[in-house]
Amino acid sequence: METILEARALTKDYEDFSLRGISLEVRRGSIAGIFGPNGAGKSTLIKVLTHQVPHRTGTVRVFGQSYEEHEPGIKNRIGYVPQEPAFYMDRSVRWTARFAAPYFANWDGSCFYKLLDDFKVNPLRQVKHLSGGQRKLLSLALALSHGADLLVLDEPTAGLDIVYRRALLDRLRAFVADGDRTVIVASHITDGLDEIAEDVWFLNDGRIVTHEDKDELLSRWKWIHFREGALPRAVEDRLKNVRRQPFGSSGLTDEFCELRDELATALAAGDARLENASLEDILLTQIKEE
Amino acid sequence: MDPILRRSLIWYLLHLMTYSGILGRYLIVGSWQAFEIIPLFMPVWLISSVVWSEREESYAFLRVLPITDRSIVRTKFMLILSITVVYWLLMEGVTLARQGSGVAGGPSTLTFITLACVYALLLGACFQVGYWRFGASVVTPAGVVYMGLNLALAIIHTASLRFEPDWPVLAQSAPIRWLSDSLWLSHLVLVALALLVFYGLMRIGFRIKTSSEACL
Amino acid sequence: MQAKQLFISLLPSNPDPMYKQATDQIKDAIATGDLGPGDRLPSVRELSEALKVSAITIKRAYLDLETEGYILTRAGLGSFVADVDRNILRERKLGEVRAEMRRIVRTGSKFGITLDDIIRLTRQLEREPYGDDSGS
Repeated sequence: METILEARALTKDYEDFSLRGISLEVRRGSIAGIFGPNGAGKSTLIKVLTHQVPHRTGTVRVFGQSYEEHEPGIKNRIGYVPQEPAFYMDRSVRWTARFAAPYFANWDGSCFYKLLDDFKVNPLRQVKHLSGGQRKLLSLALALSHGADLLVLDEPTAGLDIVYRRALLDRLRAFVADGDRTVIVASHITDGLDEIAEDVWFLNDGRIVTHEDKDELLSRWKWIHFREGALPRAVEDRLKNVRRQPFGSSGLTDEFCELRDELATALAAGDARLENASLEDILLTQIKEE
Repeated sequence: MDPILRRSLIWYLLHLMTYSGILGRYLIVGSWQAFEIIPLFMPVWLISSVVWSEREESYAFLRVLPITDRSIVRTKFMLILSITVVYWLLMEGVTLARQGSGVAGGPSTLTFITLACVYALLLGACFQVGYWRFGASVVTPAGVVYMGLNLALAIIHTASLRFEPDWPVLAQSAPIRWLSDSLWLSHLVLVALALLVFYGLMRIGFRIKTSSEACL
Repeated sequence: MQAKQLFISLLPSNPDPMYKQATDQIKDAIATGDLGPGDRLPSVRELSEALKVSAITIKRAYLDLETEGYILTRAGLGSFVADVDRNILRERKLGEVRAEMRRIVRTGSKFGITLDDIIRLTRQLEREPYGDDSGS
């Protein structure tokens, strides 16, 4: 599996927050999701990965190259949609496209205007008169119109209504469909990006807490609802977030594959029931354990 | 033309036109005092050009595009240099043209103009780098304050020249006379030094632009 | 007295609405003897707080149970398990098993699993009801 983006031991310091030693590798053709609570450092990490802000130590290599040596080449192939896109505010959408176009080697103007049409953004409007969501869509249109191999999005669904959100997810899926292009997205889990993510990173307090294939993650973690005393002691001791109620207890496990056999008896007897854990449940549990 | 250059150039050209149209014409029709005063206003125009061009600049947007910080710095610095050269050529040209009529003060006026342009050039470069280091919220007010001070001093000098009989004439002061004794040499040295410092400021600009987030 | 504690878990992922899950699980509890005739059901508030569902859901479940004759509600005293005819309980469960069996038989025939296979399996399971599922 080719690595499209590789980060090693990234650190960055702000007054009240730091990225501490972040390393990650994104496979080509995948949709990588970076999730975490507010203040976890998602935006900072994305900005470091796309060379928007400098970092203190560590390296970032994209397409096998470093920004120090190949910045324009790399940025030509990245479509970046920031959390709060910046533009020349007093200019029109069309002016913005005309400004940006000469810098891209593979600018596709017809694609850009078709996207604007789909997104219902008027090319003649001044950027400062666009809503926050429309500016995001403009940023997205730019990102998709220059033949980028790698799309990087920072909280792309914030400020978009559910119809656009769904359309965006479909678009991202289609983007990676042929296995050549890659998507990296940073978001709150509840924004729906967890649906399409294939590789999942959990970020908390400037550090990566978990990194795993999403399907494997979801198959390992399960909620078990059980009648008091129905589970073997050894199994019950290994559960997390145990909640005891008069009419049934519940607990979370991340070792479902190993515990499956020991649970078989209780499950078959109807003394235990399984439920899927959401990514949110998993992230919250990991944060609490930190 | 490079889009960044095109966007900034308009402001610089506008300033050049107002400078020439409002002030510069006094060099053509005015007395020797014009050559003493007009160059003092030039730094104000240059700093104003920088301030206006940086006003709505969007470095965060530029960071998204495939442009290196170095090329941005180079573009802005070359613009400042080119426009200063144009100011310098215009003023020196008019001075030389009017030397025959005995109005202009000769070599010392030429030196004075060169010094004013060198000063404006380096000051402009400092402000430009300042924008990257400290951001518009700090440097724009600083620029406005500077322009106010410069204008005030120039106006005071103008008024004093008119009303104070013994008010010193800068273009005739001792250091400038000394420099203009060997006109070509001093010009060469001045220009070389100016370009050297300018280049040094540009290198500092490279470092600051890549590592600073203040302008984003 | 109850031999085992009442065990109810309402899962959002289950296609049945919550109130129906509650109703079904209480009926099961009555059928297996976890709840005997005359036993007092938890109050609506008790149960809804424990299961983290709205009181309306539990109220609806209790209403349905009463309509179908499984429980009796006495104002001020609470809800109690009715004296339900065991045969009715058995018939209900039989209906569920029948639906499961139909599914198994139909699926099996698609994969070439015969009735003999199914009967043989049933016998095996009868001998070891709560054993390991990994063998065949």
